[in-house]
Amino acid sequence: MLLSNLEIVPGQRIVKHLGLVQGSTVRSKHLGKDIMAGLKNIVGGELKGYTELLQEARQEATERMIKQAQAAGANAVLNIRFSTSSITQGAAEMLAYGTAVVLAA
Amino acid sequence: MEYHNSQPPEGINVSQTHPLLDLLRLLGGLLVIAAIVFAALALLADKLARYIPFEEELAVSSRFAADFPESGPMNAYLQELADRVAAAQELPEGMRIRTHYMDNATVNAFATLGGNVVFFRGLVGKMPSENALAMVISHEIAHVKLRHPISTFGRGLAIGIVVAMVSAGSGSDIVGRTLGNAGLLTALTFSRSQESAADAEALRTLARMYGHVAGAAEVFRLLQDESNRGSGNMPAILRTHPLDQDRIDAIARNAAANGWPMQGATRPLPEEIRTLAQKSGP
Amino acid sequence: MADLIVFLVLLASGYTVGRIAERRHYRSILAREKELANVMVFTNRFPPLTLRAGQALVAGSVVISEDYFKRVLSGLQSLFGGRLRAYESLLDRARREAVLRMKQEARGKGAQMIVNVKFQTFSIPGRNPNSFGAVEVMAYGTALTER
Repeated sequence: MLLSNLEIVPGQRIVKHLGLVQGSTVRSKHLGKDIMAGLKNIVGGELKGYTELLQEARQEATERMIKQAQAAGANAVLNIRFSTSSITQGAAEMLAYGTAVVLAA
Repeated sequence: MEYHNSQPPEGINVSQTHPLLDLLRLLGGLLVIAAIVFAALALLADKLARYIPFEEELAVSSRFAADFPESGPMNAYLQELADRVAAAQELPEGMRIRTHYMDNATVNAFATLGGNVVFFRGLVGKMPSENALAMVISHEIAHVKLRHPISTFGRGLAIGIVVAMVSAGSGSDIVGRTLGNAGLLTALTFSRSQESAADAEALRTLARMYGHVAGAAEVFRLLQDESNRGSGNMPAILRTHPLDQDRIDAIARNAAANGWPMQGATRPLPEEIRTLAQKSGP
Repeated sequence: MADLIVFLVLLASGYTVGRIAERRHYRSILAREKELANVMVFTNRFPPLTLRAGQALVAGSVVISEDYFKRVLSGLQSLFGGRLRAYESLLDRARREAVLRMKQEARGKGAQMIVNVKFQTFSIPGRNPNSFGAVEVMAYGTALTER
């Protein structure tokens, strides 16, 4: 499955547009990481725990989007966009959405 | 170039697990972890708290010393008896027992920080002899000698800190509050093993003072009668110092093993003390 | 003790009423998705170049609030980390509802295709600083209308 946030794929022709596909997830880190982050607020610097959290969320959201695209019969997803919002303390929602297409060689 | 839209299948962006099952699983997991953490903390706090010197306890308890009532003839008697018991009990250097008397019908007695032990009128009124009263006093002094109040206090503090951290970290105030109440409950009473240690110590002191432990036999028979009479009006002492057959058996075995006779001549309480203690009212 | 009873009552009512409301909402969503299936949505930035059509900006938004059961469940789940399944269904409903409302507006303008669809999600804080009261999802795009 080809993923791109471009409009087109250079060298390939789009045969069919199959519509909007989205993948989303809401994740949180466990208590230990939350406490560490709280302490990090004192000294500053990268919150590695939360960076991991958002990376995992992005991974999962993208996988779900791919699943929806596969169900629609696509072989690529173009014009991908991400949207993040924080839900509660220590939890984040990640949405990945794009257009599923069928490419010809 | 064709443009189509197709309906994506359900269940990709949502989970299919039943929410009630989820809740039960999480609660179960949380309770198990909480039990383990609390038990570990209790053990740790217990061991560490004993290193706090008795002088520190006195500093803390002097702050609430003003809440205790003025001393009267009753407290003078209790203090004198307690001093005799303490002498027989061989307290460590620097540890002094201060008695307080509450003119209240509650049937209870307890030991708290700083060597302060409190007796209620209801309890003193039920004592059939000086030996029995000495047994109760010795039991409370044993708690002080074995540093039980400070270790219970340390345990409660440690649990309180953990609960505060968890409730700050979780996304819901409910979780924090529930854990807080659970933590408080475990912190309020002396544990069973602490009670039986105090029993053994008190028994030894009684034998040293009088040569026999008839006072102990009297006290426990009294409390057994109270509990057999029914739990409708359970005196406070039974709720905070649960009495079970194991505890009585342990005492009998202890006395037998050490050769302390369970019968003997008991000294009666002074007349004026008995009158003061047996007056009715709240 | 009274505290615990209040908590259980809120939890039970949150669960039952919340479950019923969610199921009803999903049924309505599925029905309308079938009905509005001929209004197509794409995230492409350019419309089909051969199509001569007018343009209109369309948007749909919805605010859905959490219920007590979801809040407690998520509170527990966030202690352990991982997916907050309770909120996933909430956001899924909100997004699909927003898209449906956008499609409704597009159909009202006589359009059969919406391009450059984007989403925005906001969380509206609740009374308790530790939980979110409601989530707002907005979907917007350009509808290609009849000339």
